[in-house]
Amino acid sequence: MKRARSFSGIEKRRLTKALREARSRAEQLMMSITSILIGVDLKGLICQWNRIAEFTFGLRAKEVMGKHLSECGAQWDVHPLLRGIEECRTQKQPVRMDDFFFKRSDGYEGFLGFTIIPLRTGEEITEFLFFGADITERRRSVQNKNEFVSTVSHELRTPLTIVREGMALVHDGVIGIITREQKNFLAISIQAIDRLTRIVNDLLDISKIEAGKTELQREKIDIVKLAGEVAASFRLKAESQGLRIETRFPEEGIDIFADRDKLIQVWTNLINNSLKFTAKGSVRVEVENREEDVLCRVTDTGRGIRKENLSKIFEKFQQLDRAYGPGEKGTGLGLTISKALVELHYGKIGVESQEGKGTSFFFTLPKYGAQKHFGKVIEDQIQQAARKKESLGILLFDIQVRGEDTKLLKKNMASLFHFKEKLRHSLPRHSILEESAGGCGTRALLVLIREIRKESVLMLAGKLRQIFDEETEFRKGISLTCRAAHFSEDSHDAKELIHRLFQEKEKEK
Amino acid sequence: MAKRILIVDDEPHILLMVSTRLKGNGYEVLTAQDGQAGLDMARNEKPDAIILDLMLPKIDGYKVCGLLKRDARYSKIPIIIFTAKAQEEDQRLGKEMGADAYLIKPFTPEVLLETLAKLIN
Repeated sequence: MKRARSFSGIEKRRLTKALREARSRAEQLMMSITSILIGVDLKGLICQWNRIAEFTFGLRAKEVMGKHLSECGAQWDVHPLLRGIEECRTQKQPVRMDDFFFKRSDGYEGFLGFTIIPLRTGEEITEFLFFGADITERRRSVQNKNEFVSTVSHELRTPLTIVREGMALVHDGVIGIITREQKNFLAISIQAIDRLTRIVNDLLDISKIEAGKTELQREKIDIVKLAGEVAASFRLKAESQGLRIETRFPEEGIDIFADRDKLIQVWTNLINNSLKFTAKGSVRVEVENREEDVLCRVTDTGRGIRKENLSKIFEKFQQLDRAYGPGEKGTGLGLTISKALVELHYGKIGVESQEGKGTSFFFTLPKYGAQKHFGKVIEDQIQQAARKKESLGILLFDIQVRGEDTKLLKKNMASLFHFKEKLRHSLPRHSILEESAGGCGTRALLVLIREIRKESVLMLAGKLRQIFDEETEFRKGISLTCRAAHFSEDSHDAKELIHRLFQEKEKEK
Repeated sequence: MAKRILIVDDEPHILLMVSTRLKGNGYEVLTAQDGQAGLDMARNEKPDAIILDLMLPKIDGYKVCGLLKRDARYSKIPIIIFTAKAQEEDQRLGKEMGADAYLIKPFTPEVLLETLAKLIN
């Protein structure tokens, strides 16, 4: 009793003062933090809004305090925020959100990246903090870099062409007779220009890959035949280095659904690499048919790679301690590009090596058909959407092109081309377009649209149908069917959505 | 009789290099420096093949290609797109416009000559 009374005296005043000071410090800290900081209670009502938030959204704290996230006047789609809060509540841990789109009343459009942090009183979560930053500039600078690389690589090509061909004409004796020594010097220069060209090509490839702009043009290809063709194209070069190219293929071909040119690029990179680092012996090219996938392998008898370098080998500009053989110098980008191309096919790439004995690069390619491939893309994107708390609209177009005569067929093919161009332009930002060419003039187009309501998906489908009809003028021999599905208004389950998309297609047939 | 090749490119030094190479291999060469001139020359001279740059003044290469390929009188003349545009979209566009081959600058003379010989025969 005595104790309690003494506590409520001077002590209490001191405590209150300390509490007030602590609170004021916390508030000042919150206000002065250089990130966006928004506090929201369990009902979604705003209880914290710092200066950076004021600046970013163009809304004063006193305008938004106590209002719901959806009614505070900020122009954003509130659903991913609410889903983020929900996930944060159920999982009881911070949730990260990237590329969240918003608009400001002055017309500024930008992207936020932030983390939602649960605040607890005791065990209970009582508040959520949105902690983040405007990442628009960062996104733009990546984009600018890629555009820059693309422009530079393009601008370099014209002078490169003139220099290369000018030297080649003199070297080949077209302009007049030259001495053997002059010819040698020109040959060395031409080789250097070719290397420069490869660097330009690789830089362009890598910048496209990093920008996510590399699109696969998938078709049905026989991977065994393709590997055989690439291996054969290296035979002369290998012989000139005193090396053998060996092949080990299954007796029958294996059809897969992949991008022909990209796979040629991967095989070429790997075989080139092996030839480069092998002084004697052989380079073996293998394809093995497995249950789920195809295993492709390039094995050499070169000097191998040190164990500690194996993990770095797919990184950019890693030209490791493998001493050069007689082959041409590389760009340090070939393996990075190969890895990205294999992964775009949903395959895996890897390396095994023993110092002094040789190196073996391998990659796998799934044995998908067109439908299975689309299914995989849809599944992937739904997973991503679920993670980012976004919705996803899915449209599947099947286009049949036939023509009784060449003239009509050509006309229809031109219409198909124009339709695809217009389709590309009518899609919202961040949409994904996948295309696959089946046999007999069938084309399947898969369109995935992020952050869209089901109603808008159906409206878009209608609009695209109209564009198609206008373009083809109901001509004979070209027809379109369209299927739509929505995550998560139709279903939360990727498998079920895919089933629905393709099932309905089957029925129609 | 020597085969006649029309080269359309706005860069005079490229024209010089390519025509020297082709003349050295027994071809007769015609040149044009913009899309309109290229189109007129293709129509008047009916060459055995056309080597066509894409980024041209007046009319761009895609359009020249499309106009010739859609006209029955000239659609049989093989067209080789010859460009610094290495993006796949450009290649696809070229193919859809009816081009017969696509060569990216810088080129190796062997490939150019081989492509040309294949298309003419």
